[in-house]
Amino acid sequence: MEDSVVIRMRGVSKSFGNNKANDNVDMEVRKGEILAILGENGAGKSTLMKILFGFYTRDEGTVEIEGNVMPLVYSPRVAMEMGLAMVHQHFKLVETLPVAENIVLGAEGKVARFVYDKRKTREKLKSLYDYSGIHLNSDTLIRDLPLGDRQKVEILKALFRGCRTLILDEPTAVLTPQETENMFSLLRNLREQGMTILIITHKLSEVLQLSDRVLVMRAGRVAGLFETSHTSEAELARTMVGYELGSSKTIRQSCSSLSPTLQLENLSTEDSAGCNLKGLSLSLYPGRIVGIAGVDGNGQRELVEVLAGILPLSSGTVLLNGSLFDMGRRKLAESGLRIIPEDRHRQGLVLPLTVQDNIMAGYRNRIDMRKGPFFDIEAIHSFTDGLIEDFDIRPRSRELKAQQMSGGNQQKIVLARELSESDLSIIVASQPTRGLDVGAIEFTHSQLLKHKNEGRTILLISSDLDEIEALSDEIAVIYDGKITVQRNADDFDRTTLGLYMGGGREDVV
Amino acid sequence: MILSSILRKDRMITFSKTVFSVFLALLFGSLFLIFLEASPLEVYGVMFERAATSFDLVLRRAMVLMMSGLAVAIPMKAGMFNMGGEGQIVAGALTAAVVGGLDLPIPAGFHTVFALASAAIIGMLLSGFSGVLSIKRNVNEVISTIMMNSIIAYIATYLVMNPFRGSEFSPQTAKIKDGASIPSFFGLDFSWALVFAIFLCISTYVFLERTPKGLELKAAGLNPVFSRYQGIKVGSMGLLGMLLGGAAAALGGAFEVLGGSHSYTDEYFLQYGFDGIAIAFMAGNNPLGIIVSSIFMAAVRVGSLAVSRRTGVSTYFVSILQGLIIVLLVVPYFSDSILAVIKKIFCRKKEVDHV
Repeated sequence: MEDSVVIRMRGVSKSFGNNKANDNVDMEVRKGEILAILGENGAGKSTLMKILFGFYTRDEGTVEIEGNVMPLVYSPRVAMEMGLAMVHQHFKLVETLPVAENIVLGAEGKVARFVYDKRKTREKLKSLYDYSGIHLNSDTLIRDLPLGDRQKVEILKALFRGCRTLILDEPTAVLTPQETENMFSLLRNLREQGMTILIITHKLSEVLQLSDRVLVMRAGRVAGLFETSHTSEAELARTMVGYELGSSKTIRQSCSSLSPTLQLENLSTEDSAGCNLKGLSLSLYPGRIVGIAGVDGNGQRELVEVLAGILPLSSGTVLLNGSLFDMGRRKLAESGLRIIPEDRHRQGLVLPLTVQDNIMAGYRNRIDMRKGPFFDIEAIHSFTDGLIEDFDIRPRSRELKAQQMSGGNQQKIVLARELSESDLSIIVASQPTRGLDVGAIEFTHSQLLKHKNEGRTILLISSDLDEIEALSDEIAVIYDGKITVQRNADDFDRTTLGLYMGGGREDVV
Repeated sequence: MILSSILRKDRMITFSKTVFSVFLALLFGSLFLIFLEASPLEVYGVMFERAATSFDLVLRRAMVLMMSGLAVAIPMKAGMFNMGGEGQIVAGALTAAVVGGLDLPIPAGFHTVFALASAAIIGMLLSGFSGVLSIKRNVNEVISTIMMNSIIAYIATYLVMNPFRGSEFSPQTAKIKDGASIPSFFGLDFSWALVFAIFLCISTYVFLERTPKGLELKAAGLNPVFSRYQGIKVGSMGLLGMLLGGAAAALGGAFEVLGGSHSYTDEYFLQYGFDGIAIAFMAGNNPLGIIVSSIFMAAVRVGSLAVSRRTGVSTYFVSILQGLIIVLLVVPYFSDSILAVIKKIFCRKKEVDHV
């Protein structure tokens, strides 16, 4: 072999209970390449990287890093000493400290022996900035940085510790298209400098743009290994999911002739710990899907909480079918608004309760489910069994606890509860397919499209632009608690969408 | 139908794990006993014999402990920790003794009901106070209920010493009127209150598993975020749990006064409230499990009275045993790993057999 191998994993297996997360996985990483590890959620990509980085102990197999055979148990600290570094999906930064201190934190020994010297540290970091091509102000506090820059700080942290192999876990999940492009050129630059880069992702387009080789994983096994230049998106997709994909796409329709079902005007909030709404206006139409694009944390969660009646408004008005709706006194749920929340585990389900209890939580007050003060057990059983059948929830058991179900089936429980009431008129779907496998994504999309065609009003909030573009009739962009633009979906392309998501205004774009 | 849901597989696993933890606790307890130069077999034998021969006493104690267990379990289901059973039992018992001692021109049964209702209301006021503080003012209910225990205990001591003193020789109230008492169960040493306590445990189970409000209460306790999305009033459910818990504890005290002791004596109910925490824990907060675990706890307590007399081992040994049981239940890791080792040995044996 002409390239020198930096990392070699042979026959690596790891089980969690009965679940084989990794099953006899072989992986070789060559020096100075960008290797993409592609797979659906739960395919075992993260597990494999965590084994490599020493977070998990493998059950079987061998691991070699730069020619050193690694013992069965070793800590991330050892892995770091061997030149590995990992940038996690959730950043591990101290928000109240400046960039420079975050970079050296934990490795202060490299700049000072006894007394920490702020100025000397900044001198030292300059060469690091030049080497990496990342230029940040050392004194900016992390909390004032956009997410894209925070990720760069994570990468600088890794470089500062002298890493030679960089592992990135879903690095683009929180970035706008522009920031993503920026990140990619930065990674290419690092590769030119001799850095080896492993990138975990489930986005095909990124793989094709960035990587030299692709390792595709499916159900814990290696499903294929490709030279990026010799493969196609279709081939990768087929290898990743194991079958040909259909695709749910909406037939786009215009909203201009319709009168809106729900109009939000200048909504503001004050009580959220996250990003408060700052005069958000939005219109939703019957039989149409309005998609909200935006980087996470720009008020999406707050918007959903306002609609759920959890977060109080400080100002603004809500019009339902043209007449004023008093959010302080009534809940939109009474008027047929149902929410598919973004966080299944916290907002959508009570994990320790059974499937039946989770479904009944949405129908607990229905008279036909009662016998006096008690639940009518027969009625409940046939009702939940019917929904389990209709929504194809597997295994077909109402007695299992929600936490025993797979992610896709958990989402189906949520869908079964929220989308089966007869008075359903407005659906708010927030990140409805996050973390789902392809089959469950298709099911969720087909449900949304079905309700659209039946004339219901749908608000789709998603950070997945592919999803937004595939399903929406109109697209609105949320930035810093405001809708900056709402237009026909056809009027957007990726670039303009990206500019708006990054904070661009109508007059600038 | 109810039976099949009670005997669900996951519940049976929980149940057998609990039994295993109790067994382990007895095992560790015997190490202590050996250290104390006593024979574990003898001590456990005496305990068991005493509990078996005075089983009506066991049941009488179990009745109070059942209610004390409910006082912890119901709020826990709603996500609240009621550690105030100790005080609420005392308050309920004293109230029942005072109201039961009044000369009221009402028929016999009604006097009992009146005394019980007064006790329940006092219990609810006490637990509700902590509940409201927690929900409205974010005062941790664990601390406020525990603090209330001491306050109530000392107020009760004052009350039996002075205004309500009914005996020259000891700090106790006067005997309650006959019309207020709960009749003995066919002449045995426990009253019909036991039947009522068991009925309340079953009712609680039905409430939690078979009613919309019960579902709301469980959901609110397990996942407040989810509950808000579903329009469940999380605070109200927490308060409801606390109120029911306080009422249960107070009724436990009242039952014993009206059906057993017929007067309230200072420090009579010492430790009952804290035993309730252990009982609820052993039962995994399942109201039906509480019936079983309270009888077990009562047997251990009654049995231990004979232990110190006949073997010289201190009654505090029972507290050690109780502590061990709780630790083993709270830290399932320990008993789980022992179970895993046993399984491994078992499986290996089988493999050898096949060869």
